[in-house]
Amino acid sequence: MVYLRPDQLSQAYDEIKRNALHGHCTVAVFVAPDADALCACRILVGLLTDDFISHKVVPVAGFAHLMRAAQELINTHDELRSIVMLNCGGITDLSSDLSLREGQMIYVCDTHRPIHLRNLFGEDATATAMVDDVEDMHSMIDVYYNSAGDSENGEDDGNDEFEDEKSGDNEERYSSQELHRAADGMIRATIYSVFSAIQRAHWDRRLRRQQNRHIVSDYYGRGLTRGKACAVQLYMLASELRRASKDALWWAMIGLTEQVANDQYLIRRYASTVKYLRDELARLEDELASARTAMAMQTTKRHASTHRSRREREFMLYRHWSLYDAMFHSRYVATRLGIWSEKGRGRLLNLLAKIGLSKRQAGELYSEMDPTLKHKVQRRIIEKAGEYGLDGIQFASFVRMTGYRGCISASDAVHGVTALLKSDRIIASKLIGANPGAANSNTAVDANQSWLRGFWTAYDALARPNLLSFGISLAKSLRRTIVRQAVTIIEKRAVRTLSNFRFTVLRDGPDLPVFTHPMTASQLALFLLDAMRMTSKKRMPFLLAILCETKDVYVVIGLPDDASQPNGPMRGNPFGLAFDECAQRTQARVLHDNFDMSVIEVQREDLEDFVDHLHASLPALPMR
Amino acid sequence: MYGDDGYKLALEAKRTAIDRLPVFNRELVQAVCRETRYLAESLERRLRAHTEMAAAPRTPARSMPSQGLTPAHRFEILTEHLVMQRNKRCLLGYLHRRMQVVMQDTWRRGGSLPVQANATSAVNESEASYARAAGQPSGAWDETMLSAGEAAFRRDYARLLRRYAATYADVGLLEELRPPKELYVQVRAIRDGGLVQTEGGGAIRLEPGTQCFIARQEAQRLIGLGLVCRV
Repeated sequence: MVYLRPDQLSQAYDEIKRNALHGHCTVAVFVAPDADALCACRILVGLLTDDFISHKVVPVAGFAHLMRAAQELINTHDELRSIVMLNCGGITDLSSDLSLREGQMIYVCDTHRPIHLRNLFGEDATATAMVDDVEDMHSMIDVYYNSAGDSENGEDDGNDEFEDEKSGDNEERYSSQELHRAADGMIRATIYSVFSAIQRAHWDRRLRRQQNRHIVSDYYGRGLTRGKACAVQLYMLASELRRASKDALWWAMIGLTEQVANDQYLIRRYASTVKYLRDELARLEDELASARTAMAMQTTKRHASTHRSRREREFMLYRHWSLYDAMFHSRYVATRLGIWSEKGRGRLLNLLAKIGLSKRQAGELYSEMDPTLKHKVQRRIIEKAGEYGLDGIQFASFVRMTGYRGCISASDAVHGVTALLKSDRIIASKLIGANPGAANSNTAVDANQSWLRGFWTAYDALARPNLLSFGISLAKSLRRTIVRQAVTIIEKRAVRTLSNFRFTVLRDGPDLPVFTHPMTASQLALFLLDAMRMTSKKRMPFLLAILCETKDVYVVIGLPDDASQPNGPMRGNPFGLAFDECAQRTQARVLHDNFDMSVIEVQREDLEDFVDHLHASLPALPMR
Repeated sequence: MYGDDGYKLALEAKRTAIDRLPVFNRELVQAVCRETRYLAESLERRLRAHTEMAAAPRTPARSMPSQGLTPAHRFEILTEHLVMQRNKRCLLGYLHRRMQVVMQDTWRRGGSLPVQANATSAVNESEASYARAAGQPSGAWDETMLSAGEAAFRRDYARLLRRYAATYADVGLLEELRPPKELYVQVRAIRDGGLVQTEGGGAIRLEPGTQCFIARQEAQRLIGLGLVCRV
């Protein structure tokens, strides 16, 4: 079985378990550096740990790193049986890019869509991807299994004859090869040129193939989208194995919330997932309650943490900040009120006054506000928000209360963890203002090491509240920087409107190094995109290029015009494909290494050419 | 005031524990030594003055030597002597406590010394400051905490211990006495260890920045070598 539905996850896990050898490290887990993958990793590691399965966790920064690390591990590690990839690897053809040995298996849990079809339906069955959007896959299954069935009638052969293009009677196989090559095109070339190359088939078969081709080209041409969060998928696995814990549930919530915080997931689907998690929470609470009465003496400190599902406000980290700052720095409120102008800031103060807060009270830390005032504020915000166009100010989410440490909402945790992930020492020292001299001296020496430390700090923070609160304070200063930069860009009117997308280049500024991290950059881009939506009626994709001086490249990020329609199919990000195509045509020196394909690094001198070409070629691409 | 520095040393010794060894307090130790030496000189001076006085031909009726001392003098001598004794005790106690910790640590490490980390000391320093900012206690201590004498002692002791344990190879002297709670532990690779052969016959690659869940025995050995740290 090569592609797994959510209810088949436990089969995959059983397989991993069966293949494990006592005392040997048989499982390798590759983890992408984002909060969702981290949460998924924690859940998986928890499961493996409980089963005494020796394993190895390898953080990977990008495609090249992943492929190198995986291949090296495969080559040197004889006992390796199972490779798990969390939030990475789904987009490339793993079975051909990695030369696996006998008995080795790759399991891919990746939210990035599209997943390479050969990972889902490949003949050699070495890579297994976990998929949640089954309805999407039905047509694809038809395409693949029908053509596979035909080819089996024709000739029963292995992979080595796969390259044989001349033989007349395995026409269908030829077609499936074309499909695969088309899939590779996702990375290397545009599919259209490949598809136009198919000219040599019988007419009746051609018709069917054409339909197939449409389905496949539709699949890849839809652009980049996201599937269900990894952490949620793995939580479902844990739950299926009847080993779900509250911690696992909390991590699933964080993974889910990360996607929403970055506009990567449909609101409609989010609601159904939240409902699922809420049911799970109720079930777990119930089980734990009965367990607790049985052994009341053994309530540990850990159990003191309780989870609630709550209506959450769209205020950035407001439990850890003052209400004014929280509103000022939240993307939702800030862009809708337009805080970059004097008028917008006035509107914010006006709203606060209507809620019944003086300027001084709004500047107090929310956690230390008068409780009666807090209740009043909570109620009145909902009443008044509508007047300011902030109707969607509430959304369903979760909070975690741990003893005396106060409560942390899932979105707070996401911000904290992400901030820890992306702040290597240089950025951290810039943000906290600690020993910049020492930080600069060995920048080159351990640029590699420092992101790893960020990774593990974030990993630890998922279970350690005090580390997480450090992350939250980092997130606050990071957020300040982002909003400040966004306001500067808008004030300077630095956003150029081209005929089919908007475009900004960030070349200088005191905070430039902070933005060279793709995740920070995409937060800035999201903020600007929202702001642009408010200021003009015309909806356009947004392209942001940020100069990274140390590497002499531009980090370029493309965002689709609106990913979050309340209903209807999710619109993909067209930039993933367009980037590749442009890079090919312009011969620009690029590095398309990030797991998020909407991020690309372009050599400094090549940017202009690249963007010009992007401008010319974007409408030609399907932007359904 | 006499003995103040000694008291400080004693306090420091009291605060020393296996996972929290402070840096060898050279200044304080020297201060205590200086004080003791001064006291010894002063005491000697007093006694010499007294013996000279006693040896001087005086009236034969006064036969007892101590009769030349007034109670005040006697008290001075006694105080100085006691303070000297006390300083010595503090000093020895301080050194002894540290030695105990070093010995315990050597046992815990199974007689192997951690790999020197001189090349990356600058990195470690800023890392420590980062850890402080993040609110993490930096638990481990290393060679820089020890004085030269202590470091030499540690090396020799480790060698001695290894030799001793080797004579009882079938007993496994260096194993933990308490039965382990878990058979496997999570460790994180600190530095590149290359391909490490495991006891089960397999091999494991240790690249910095990876986390492994491996058998306890294996982990103990690797921790001893300083290649990994426990999570």
